[in-house]
Amino acid sequence: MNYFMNLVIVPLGYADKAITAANEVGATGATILRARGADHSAKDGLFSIKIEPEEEIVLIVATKEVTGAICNKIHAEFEKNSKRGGSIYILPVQELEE
Amino acid sequence: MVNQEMPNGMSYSLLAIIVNRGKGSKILGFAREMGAKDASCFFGKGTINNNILKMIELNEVAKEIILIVVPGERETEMLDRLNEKFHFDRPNHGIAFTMPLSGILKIKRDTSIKWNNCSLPVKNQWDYTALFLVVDKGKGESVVRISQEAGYYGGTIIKARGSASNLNIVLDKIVEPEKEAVLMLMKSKSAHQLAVLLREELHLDQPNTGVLVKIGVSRTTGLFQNGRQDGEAEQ
Repeated sequence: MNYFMNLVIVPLGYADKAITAANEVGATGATILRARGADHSAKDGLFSIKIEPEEEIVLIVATKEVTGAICNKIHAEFEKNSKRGGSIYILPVQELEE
Repeated sequence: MVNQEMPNGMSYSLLAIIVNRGKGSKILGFAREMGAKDASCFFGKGTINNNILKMIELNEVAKEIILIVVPGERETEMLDRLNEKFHFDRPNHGIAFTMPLSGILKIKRDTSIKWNNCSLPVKNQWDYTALFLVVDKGKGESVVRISQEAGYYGGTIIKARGSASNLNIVLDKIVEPEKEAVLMLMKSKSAHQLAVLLREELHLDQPNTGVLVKIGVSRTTGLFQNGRQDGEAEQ
């Protein structure tokens, strides 16, 4: 079975929401990393202080069907209920041991 | 909802860079200047494979991991420019590697995933493989120790927290929500052997012990073994 690793990058605090959404459509677990990003829309601050928005990266391993469902679900969740968006990157997995 | 495909010839790669702590913001800024689509950065800790340092417990080194999404056709250019500025081609300056992405979605903008069909068939002929392992907190170091004792590279440990969906309430309390993720980069041949070894040592075939994922790496720079640079893996 082909698996994919989803990197769901969301603003800080939204990871639990993303995981709840993913679990509803069949994901079986997730790992959260805390990160900071380089946002294009964030303005360069005064006195060369750079703004690095805090983010959370949610890692979910899932099959192709579940991956599609997760993406649709998260899009639907975040479309209305949040100001800041995020992104999902999908990496192909060669082999999985669970 | 119909899945879109990426426009012809468009593909994206995920560029991962591991450097000593403190350089992360510089690279983030540099990536932004170069017009990277998206970049983020988090902390990790690496290990030095040195017996003397290990004895006095000084074999840990603070690292930063940067993930940048780059368009496939600019991958080489970006790596070259990063090399020029941050000298990954010299020992102990950090490593960089790229993984082909098979899909991308901007949560607010796109309605469905853009699949990248070129890399959809999972290729097995990559020279290098990234091993990504999620285990309970505290086990990360033993993963690195196991792999070093077996003669492989060390790894980078990242702090994380996790959740599992198919647990009952009683078990839920026992499962440690604090996790450690270990990122290791190695030749594809040894990756398979190490994966088998780790599965046996950590009993990964039982539920709630951890997950091990292997991801193909298309290009690397800055990998050294015994003081000489490994040939740069071309796609």
